[in-house]
Amino acid sequence: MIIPLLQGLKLTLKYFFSGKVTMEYPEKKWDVAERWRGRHVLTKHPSGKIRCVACMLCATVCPAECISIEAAAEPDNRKYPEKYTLDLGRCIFCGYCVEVCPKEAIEMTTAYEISEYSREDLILEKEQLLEPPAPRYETKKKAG
Amino acid sequence: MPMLTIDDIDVTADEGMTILEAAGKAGIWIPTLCYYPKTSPSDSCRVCAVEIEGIGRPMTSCNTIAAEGMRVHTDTPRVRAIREEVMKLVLMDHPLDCPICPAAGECEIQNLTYRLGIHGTDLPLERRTDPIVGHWPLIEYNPNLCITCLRCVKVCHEVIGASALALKDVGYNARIGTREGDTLWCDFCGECVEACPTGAMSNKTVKRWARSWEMTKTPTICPLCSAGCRMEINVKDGRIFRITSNIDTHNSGTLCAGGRFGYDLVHHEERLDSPLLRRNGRLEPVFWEVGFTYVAENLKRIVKESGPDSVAGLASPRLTNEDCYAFQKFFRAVIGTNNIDSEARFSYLRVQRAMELTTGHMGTTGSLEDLLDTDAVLVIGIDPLEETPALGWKVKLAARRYDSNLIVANSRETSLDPFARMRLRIRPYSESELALGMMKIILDLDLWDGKFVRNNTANFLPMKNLLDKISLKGILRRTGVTEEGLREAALIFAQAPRASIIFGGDVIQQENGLQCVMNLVNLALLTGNLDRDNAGIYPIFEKGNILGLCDMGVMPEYLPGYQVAASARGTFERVWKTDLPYTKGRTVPDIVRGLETGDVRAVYVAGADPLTDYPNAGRLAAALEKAELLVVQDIFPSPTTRIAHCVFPAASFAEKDGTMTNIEHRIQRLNQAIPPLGPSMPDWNILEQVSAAMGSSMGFFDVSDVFREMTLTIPMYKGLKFQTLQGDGRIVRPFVEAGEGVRRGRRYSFAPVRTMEAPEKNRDAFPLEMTAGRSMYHFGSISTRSRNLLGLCPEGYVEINPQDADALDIGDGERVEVRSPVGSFVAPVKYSGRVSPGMVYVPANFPELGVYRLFEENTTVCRVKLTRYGEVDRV
Repeated sequence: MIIPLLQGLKLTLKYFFSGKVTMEYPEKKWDVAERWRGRHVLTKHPSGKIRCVACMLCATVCPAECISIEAAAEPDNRKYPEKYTLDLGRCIFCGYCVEVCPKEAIEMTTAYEISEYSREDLILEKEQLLEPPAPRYETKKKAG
Repeated sequence: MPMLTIDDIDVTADEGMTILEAAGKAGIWIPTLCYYPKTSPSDSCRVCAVEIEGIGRPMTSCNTIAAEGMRVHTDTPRVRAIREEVMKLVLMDHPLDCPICPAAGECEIQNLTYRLGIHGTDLPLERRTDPIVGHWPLIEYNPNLCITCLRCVKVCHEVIGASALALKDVGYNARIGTREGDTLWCDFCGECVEACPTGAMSNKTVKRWARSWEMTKTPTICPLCSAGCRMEINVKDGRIFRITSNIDTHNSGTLCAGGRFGYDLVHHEERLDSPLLRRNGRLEPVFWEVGFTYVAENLKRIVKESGPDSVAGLASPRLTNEDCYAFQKFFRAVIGTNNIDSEARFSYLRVQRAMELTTGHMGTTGSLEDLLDTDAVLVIGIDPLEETPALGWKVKLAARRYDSNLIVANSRETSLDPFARMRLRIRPYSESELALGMMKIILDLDLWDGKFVRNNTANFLPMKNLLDKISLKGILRRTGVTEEGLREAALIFAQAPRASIIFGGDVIQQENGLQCVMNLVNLALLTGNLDRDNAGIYPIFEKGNILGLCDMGVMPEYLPGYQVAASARGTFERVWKTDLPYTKGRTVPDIVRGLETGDVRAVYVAGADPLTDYPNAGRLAAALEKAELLVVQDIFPSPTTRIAHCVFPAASFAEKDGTMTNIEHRIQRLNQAIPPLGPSMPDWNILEQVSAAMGSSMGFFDVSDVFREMTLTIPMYKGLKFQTLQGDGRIVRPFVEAGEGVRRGRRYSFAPVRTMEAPEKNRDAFPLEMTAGRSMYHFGSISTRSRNLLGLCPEGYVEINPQDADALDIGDGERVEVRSPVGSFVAPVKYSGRVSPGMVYVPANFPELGVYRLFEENTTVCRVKLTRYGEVDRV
């Protein structure tokens, strides 16, 4: 009768000494796949200008209709978005906008920490979208 | 009518129809690229090739006339191969910039490539990198996107007649350029943009751009001039982005600079954005209710103290029919006075009076389309391309394509002169004499239509006696034309089987306007040009809804629909459930006199700017300042709003529903494209609110309520429905049957009148003769709020013959003071060979000049002197 007990204890001890399955979020964070469809970012040319030419294809293709763009043109007739608004509260993270973009001007980052306290804060403007998402909920406390 | 089969379907084509049109009739699709229905086929792209049995090579369907027994195949492997090859050649060097191309979404290359299933081209060629032509105003040409289909060149040459664009160079280097040198001799109608199948010709003004599929198109009509062209307002997010047009409209989708580019006045930042009330000498923003209460209480007080006839109203031809109807009902039913008038007093009402007496018509007797097939056109006292471009283009087309003989009689060179067979440079004021002279010659040569005159007209003998009394020599002296010139003009006009007369501002707005119009009608009657098709009389007015304004009875003498109170009182009292005033009512000059004596204490102005648009504005301004209460509702601040006590912001044409009546009496729907900007309200609604505040609502809650009441009270509107007026609308011409009055039971009557000679006083002190007219790119004063149009014509100017300028030692562009006996203004000088020596010409569109301050009552011609203003200031 001791043998089944030891067999059980063996399993217990095996997991006791093996690595942890859970992670102490937010002190430690999961690495997600590179293809993770997280918060969007508007990319820039090496010269620092926004890549987007305001072709409105992302706004057109978006099934959740969460993108709205107000376009303008520079004196040399180069078009750019005067306003680029993306409502994360409506976004379903399908990634169609990235796929349709002819200029690779919108990409999705791996950032998944995008919750906010109010719906208004979920509406991102051009300036916010131009910055890569900052990691959030950092803590000084050592994980362990 | 030839019968043919296309893809084994039997089609009956009209005579002269092409295979492409016959296929369209049968519902068979043939791809096209360079074909444009408005122009002749240019047959350059070959994509419309079809196979015809019995003919070895494929034929282009756009220019092959359908013939009896033809058997056409549009979908054979050979034809498909041709189409594919053509599209691959087009795509060979066409940049695939669709994401940033303004045409994407409505690009015909895009659509054809998709529909024909072409997935790219294997013909290697480098992209063109020609510089974009960006220095033209309003229009931009990108040679890299151009497929040289020649649509723009053809539409510019054939439809507009400006011929500004031309094909330059040959072969692969062929691109679109300007006709001569680097100057673009353009009317800026934007037809090339509309015609371009790609994005090569684009509208430069769309700075905030939107993709074609994002914008909602609202069909409406252009309110700027009286042609009433149909157009589509393209809106995204409550903002107008551009104006497009549809080819299936009565104007064939042709718009002018005002229609296509003038839309930006709607979003002008000077729009009134709040009701204003004068407090402590300043206009301060207030809430609507405060304004309503103020106006209602003061109107009630004044009516109580001095009776309803101490209140007067002035309306504007910019208002819709519903606004005008509500305006006159407000005055007749709520206040109880007939003191309402408008600037039509100085234009349309003279024509209406003259034509009612002589013909029973109230304005044009034919439609604009009829002008194309008329054999001779007498254009007198107007440059149609400046006042109503749509009509000007029709005349141009008639002269160029249909060989009609154009006679232009004007005191200065007009833009129709190059197309005219006969040009008569007459002295200002002498249009009436010219008509009399032509009649005299026609009678002498016995070219008049005796049968028509005997059967249909009255008063011919007095007319003949008058003509016998006048000497031809005197006429020649007063008009300043040669005898041969006058004789030839008379011959051309009399010998044409169908002839039309077009006249405008210079004729109508002079002091003898009434007599002048009568004499032109006499000329038409003498040659029998009234009962025929494609012949008639076309009076032209500058502003959008001047006919509607008078149809709605905004004048003391008539109730809506030109009904007189004596017979129609019952109808109106039953519908309005109130008594109609019995007083005669005041016209504009009477209102001014009343203000001066203090009999008129309050003035309500709807949409009008009397200080800019009425003659003798100086006297009017002094009179209006004496008014105890001046209420103005308008969309922009104007010289009149500046002296008002209360100002209400009104909605512009894009922000309201309604109907408007164009020059051919076509009643059309104006559709709301965007919500009213800021707190503005449609004019009829403001009037309803004021009357509600006065305690007697007019019962209008929606614009269709106003229209419904119009159909009850106006006989010619009977049976019309607000909803079914969409599309080309309905032509409803008022006609007064001949009673026992002047016409003595006949259908028409001559009106033997002479005109007084031009006053020659002050000849030495004021050596030059000034006429006021329009700028080609402006329509009234409202369009001077459009940045796009200001780009074409930024400010008022004085056109002067270089000969006179030399004598006065004034350089081109220098600022001069123009002084008449009653007023003066300062403007830059523009040298122009278009005005004769001894004359100056000024566009009256710019409110800051106040050109009308120079005129004494009832005229647009006066004597002026020019002096250099201050120091030299080059513009």
